[in-house]
Amino acid sequence: MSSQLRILIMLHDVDLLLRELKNQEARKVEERHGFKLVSHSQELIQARNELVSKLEPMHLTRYERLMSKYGRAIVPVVHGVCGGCFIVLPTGEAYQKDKNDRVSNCANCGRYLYWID
Amino acid sequence: MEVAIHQVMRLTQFLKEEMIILDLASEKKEDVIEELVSLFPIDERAREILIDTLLNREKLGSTGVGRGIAIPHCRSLVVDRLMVAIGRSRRGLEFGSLDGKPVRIVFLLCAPPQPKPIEYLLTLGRVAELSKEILKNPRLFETDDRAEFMKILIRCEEHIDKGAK
Repeated sequence: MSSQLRILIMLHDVDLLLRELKNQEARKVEERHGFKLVSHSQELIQARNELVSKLEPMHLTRYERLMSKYGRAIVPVVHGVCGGCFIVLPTGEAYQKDKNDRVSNCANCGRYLYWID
Repeated sequence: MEVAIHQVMRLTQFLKEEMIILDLASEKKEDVIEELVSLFPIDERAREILIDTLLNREKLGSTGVGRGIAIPHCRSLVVDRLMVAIGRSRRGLEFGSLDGKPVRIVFLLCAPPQPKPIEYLLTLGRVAELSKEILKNPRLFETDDRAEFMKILIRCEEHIDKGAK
């Protein structure tokens, strides 16, 4: 897996956690099931900052733009279909080996792609 | 809300015996998470990311919910479906639980980000409910047979469902 793609996925996972922390409804449900959540995690923000510092500026700009536009900047590709806009990706891409060894984007919606199959 | 939880799914419908460790080798939270994630059918790099995300989730508050139960959980891009692994520790684990008691059973839950958050939370609720029900079944803490462990879990879920009707 490309190191930049790895960082992008980790950043996305961290952002999802931070978003859930701010989501009052999600907090209430978690707390009802016995989980105790902090209101603010400096540790997690620090982890995010570390990831951001390792990301190439070009990817960071694009990532932030996609997050702001779609709420999700990276989507899985399952059976050759973009998990964001559900367009069938070109077969040439689908047949490439080690597809996660490079950073790629959906030609239609622009989201970053993570190939699961 | 309770009815909705039961409508989501039965955890034991997709939990496989291979996803159960009856005698966890690890003693620390980080190692236990790694040991359980190693059961998932994902590649090594994806596994590393998932472990990082689970540990990041722990920074928001321990998932040791008390009564000897921990439910580490997260949503991550590297899984394409809900994945659950269960580990049991004979010695008990230090998990930073709310009641300070050692953890005996760990339910590890990972889901992709795609479904709506509420679906994930409902599944989490189901696990939390199951974790309470299993406390009424001491045999679950004794058996060395994964098939029997599964059967007890299935019975617990049936009991939860009956209670909901």
